[in-house]
Amino acid sequence: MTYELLEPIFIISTALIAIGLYGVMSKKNILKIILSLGLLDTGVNILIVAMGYIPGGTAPIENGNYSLYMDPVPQALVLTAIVIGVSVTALALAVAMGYYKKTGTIELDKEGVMKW
Amino acid sequence: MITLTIAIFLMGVIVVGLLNKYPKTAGIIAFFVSLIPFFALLSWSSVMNITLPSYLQFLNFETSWQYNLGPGTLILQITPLGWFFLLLLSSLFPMVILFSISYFRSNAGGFYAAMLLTMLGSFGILLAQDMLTFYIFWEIMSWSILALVIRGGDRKAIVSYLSFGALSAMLILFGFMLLYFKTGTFVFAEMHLDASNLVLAAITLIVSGFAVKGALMPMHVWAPHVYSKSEEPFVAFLSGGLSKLGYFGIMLFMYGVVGFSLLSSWGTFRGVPLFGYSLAVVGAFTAFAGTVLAVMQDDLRKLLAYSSIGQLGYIAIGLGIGTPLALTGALFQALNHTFFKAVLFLAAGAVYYRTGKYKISELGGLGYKMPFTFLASLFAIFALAAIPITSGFAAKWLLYEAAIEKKFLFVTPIMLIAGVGAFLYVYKILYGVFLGEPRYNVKEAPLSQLVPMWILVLPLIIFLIFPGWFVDLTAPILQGYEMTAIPHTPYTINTSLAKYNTLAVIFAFIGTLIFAFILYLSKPQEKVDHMDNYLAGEPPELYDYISMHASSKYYEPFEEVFYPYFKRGAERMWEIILAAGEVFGSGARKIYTGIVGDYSIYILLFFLIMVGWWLLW
Amino acid sequence: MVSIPPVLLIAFPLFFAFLAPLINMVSKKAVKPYTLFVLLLNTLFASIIFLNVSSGGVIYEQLSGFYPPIGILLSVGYLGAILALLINLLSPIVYISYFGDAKNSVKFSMLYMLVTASSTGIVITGDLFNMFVFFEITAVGSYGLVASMRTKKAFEGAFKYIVLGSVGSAFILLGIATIYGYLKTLNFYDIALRISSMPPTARLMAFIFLIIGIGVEAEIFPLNGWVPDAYEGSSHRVASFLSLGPSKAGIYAIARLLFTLIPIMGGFELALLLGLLTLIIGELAALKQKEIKRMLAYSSIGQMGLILVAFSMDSRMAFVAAIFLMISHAMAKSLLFLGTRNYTVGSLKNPFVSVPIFIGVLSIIGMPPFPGFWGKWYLMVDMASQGFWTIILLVILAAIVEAVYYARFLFKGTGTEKSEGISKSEMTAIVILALLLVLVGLFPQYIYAPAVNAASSFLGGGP
Repeated sequence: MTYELLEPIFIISTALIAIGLYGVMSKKNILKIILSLGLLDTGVNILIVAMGYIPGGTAPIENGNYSLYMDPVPQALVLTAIVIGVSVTALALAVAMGYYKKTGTIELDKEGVMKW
Repeated sequence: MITLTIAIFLMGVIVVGLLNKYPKTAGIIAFFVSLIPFFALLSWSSVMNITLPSYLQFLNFETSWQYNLGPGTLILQITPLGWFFLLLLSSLFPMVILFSISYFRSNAGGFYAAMLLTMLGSFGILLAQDMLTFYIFWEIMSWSILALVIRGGDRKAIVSYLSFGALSAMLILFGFMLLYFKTGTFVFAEMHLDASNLVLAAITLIVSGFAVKGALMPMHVWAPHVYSKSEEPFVAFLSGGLSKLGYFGIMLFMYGVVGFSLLSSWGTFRGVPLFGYSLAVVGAFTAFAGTVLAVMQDDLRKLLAYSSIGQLGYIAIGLGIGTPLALTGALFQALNHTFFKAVLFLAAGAVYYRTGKYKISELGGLGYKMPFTFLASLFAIFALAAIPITSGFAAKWLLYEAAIEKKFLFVTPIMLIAGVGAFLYVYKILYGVFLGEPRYNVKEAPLSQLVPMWILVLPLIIFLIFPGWFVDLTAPILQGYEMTAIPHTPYTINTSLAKYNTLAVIFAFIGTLIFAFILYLSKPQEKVDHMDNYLAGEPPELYDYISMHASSKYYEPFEEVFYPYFKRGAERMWEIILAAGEVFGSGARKIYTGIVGDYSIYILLFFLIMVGWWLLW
Repeated sequence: MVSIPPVLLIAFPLFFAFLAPLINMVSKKAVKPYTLFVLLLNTLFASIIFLNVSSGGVIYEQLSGFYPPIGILLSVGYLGAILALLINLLSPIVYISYFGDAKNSVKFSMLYMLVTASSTGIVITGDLFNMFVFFEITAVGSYGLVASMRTKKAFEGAFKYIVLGSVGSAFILLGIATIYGYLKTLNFYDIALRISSMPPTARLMAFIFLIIGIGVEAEIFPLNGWVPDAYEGSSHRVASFLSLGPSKAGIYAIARLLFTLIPIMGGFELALLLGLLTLIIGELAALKQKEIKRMLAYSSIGQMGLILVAFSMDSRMAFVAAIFLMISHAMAKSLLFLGTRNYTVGSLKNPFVSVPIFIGVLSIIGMPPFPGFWGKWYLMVDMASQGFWTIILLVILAAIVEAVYYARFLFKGTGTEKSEGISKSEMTAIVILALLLVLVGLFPQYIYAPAVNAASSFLGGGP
């Protein structure tokens, strides 16, 4: 395993995940939360793609010369995850719009939230 | 045949439930279904060494029955103890249904359906031979009572009944599980128990679970609410019949499963197991407190409810002492209480049916308008107060004797005080409801209400004259516990302290009666109005009708003495426990702050704890 | 016997879900009967597959022409078959309740079919990533369903659900990445076979990631912040559906993770701890709750905790108990949600409402002869035979607390005069659910046998 080469990627993705989590935890603004979720997703995706990386490998496309190629499975996973992430983001934005229409705000820290 | 019985009951439940719009039809169907357990009882009479003529045993029920549920087996079998309690329930039940046919004018299908379910549950409980069967039928009985309580629609009744029902179920379940852990079997007959603390804990839990149904203090809190806020025929069956199941359970587990000798191995007090002694003390306390609280009530149903609690306490005393004499007394008291309390509740129902009132201070003079109801309740009241013209006297006599025989210096006086206290509240019923100036121009209760009441009075008179017959009934039960029945002839019961003789008792009673009558005639009589109160110069306009009534604040001095001690009663204690639970509840609720950031923090914290736990470990 | 490829269970409603807008263009009225028809056909498939599995054992099916471990594998085990049948049996019944309603029918119906298909997918898949995808489809569909009321509360609840669901899915992905990074496989059987070759640290990390991710969907305590808000915000029908489909799939995934996928040291102890916490906090939080749907949501949390406790016992009897508890919870809780309308309990004056609600409450608080009783009884018997008295005591206390707040719930139903607001269709649905509860309760032996098989397949050893 040549994970040492990937350390910067790990750091980047961990940082993205951390920023995303921080944003979700601390922000009250719906849009900021959605953005943080996006960051979180991106961080995870980068991590997975990086795992399939093989130094010197080519893209996993059948072109007659596939002695050394990247692991295709993580890439497939990430593609799926991106699609899911996009749809969730879209849905979240739609919900945010609906919320805004009903309340006139996109802040969630009002007294009016459902609780207890 | 038992399969058929259960099937008929279940089908009956569905049919009468669907006949909600036709209360009379539903009632008649329910009545016919309700007779089946009684026929079963007749066909099983051989377990009690009774031979009945064959025309009474036209239905032939098998004595044991099994049904494989896959994951468990239901086992039913008739035993002497089960037969005795089935006698109480199966003779009471059809009468209660008969009463309700005319009592309900509409919307009764659900009532009959739930009543049939309670009877089915009781039938199973009394025959159950293993803990799974027992628990299943126990809970069926328990939740069908809940359905009937919900019909009453009172918040306190529903909440307290379901909470205490669950408490009882869980105590029993916990106890069953301890026994299962100890013995590895659910079947009563296969249990081999020893004198370990585990078994003691199990039997304590189980008995306290049954104490909820038997309304022993401090587990009685649900009873006044339920008794006073539900429909009268149901209350008659609940108080008269179903509350006995708690004592059936106590007796089954204390003497049938654990046994007297094993109970004694955890310590004795004057030859009585310490366990039984504590039960007797609880029972005595219940008898006393129930009586005192009953005296303070103005609502007829609440009065009867507390009186029920008090009278049931006597059964607990008898079961606690556990000598053949005491057990006979306890069973006798159970039998009497079944019939007299049912009659009293049915009479209260009949009174309500005619007048629409339950408050004693709003009633009066009904004895002139409803003489047969009055006479039936008079007999019941005699039985309740242990006046020797009904069998109530014999039962209390045996119980007192059992307590005196064991020299229980604490229990006996309390019992006696409670016995006298009963006079106070039955007098309130007699005077406030039935005697005095007639205030309502009502008719006598309908025949279909009078007939059940009078049939239920019969056993009280029969067992007065032939107390020995009753002792015959207890013989097979006591034999099962390796005890012998107390010596007796049909008219007499011989005990170590004294001899109970029916003829002597009746003659003494009649003699006293004649003496009292002569006294009564020797003084000039004067009819006094209910409202003819001493007003000390205050103008009567200041007072409304109720506060002028003689039975309002009838025992005020008595209440002034006792009320302070009962103010902070068991109800208060349970409310505090509930409030404490709710404090925790509010705490738990505060976790869900409604802010999504907090929820994410929980997730991250959980992650960090998990990682930290792993790092440390 | 007819055999049916399990993929049909997923593909069929999925395909017809996307056909629904076309039907809508033809006739707006046809959408609901059409959806019901599709769901009922799926019920039929699920029952055939259930029968096949119970007679012939686990069914495997590889998809898209690749052989496992590269290709995606569907494997319908005993537990999977039971749950697939449960979900597909109940979802048309709950859908019946939707017939009285006029609003947003086509989108709702699409999402409904989608979530049914994907929750079924979770329980019959044999591939970790496939499971993730189904989780996400379930989640996305559920977000939409929660928001479908289009009120402030609905949007708010949906948003909270989205945020926590996304965080959870990120954790699942991390877990999948960890496993894939070491084992280069995502097939359940492959993972289970070779999990011991993973370094313990990595195994533990994967376990933590996955249990967090799945726990969000399975309503496990520290991860379930969305539950009360989403249930309160959504309409009663959606809440009813959510409590039968997605949450059952989630708890199934947890069981899968615990038993076969990544058995780690202390995993069951952890699950036990989490289950007890979830149980107690859920029940206590419900105790003082005035809002009825929120109370039922807390009660759901408590029930999920109890199911997790049953799984964490790691014994056959308790596993059977967990299956009964799942059945009881799916049927009874969806019944209760349907019976509550939006803010009040359905009136108990109407016997067709009161009797089902009563039966539902009885099953949840564990009264015989309903499925909840069998669940609690087996669980107790199992714990008793192992002598876990503290746990029994906690479960018992929770049951008492449960009885107290359900008593208040029942009282609220006695107040209103008529059964206002409960439509005929909802009444039909709750009556059918109550009948199912009675049937399962009276004849537990027909569930018991497959449940024992399921337990054996998870725990090893003969049936």
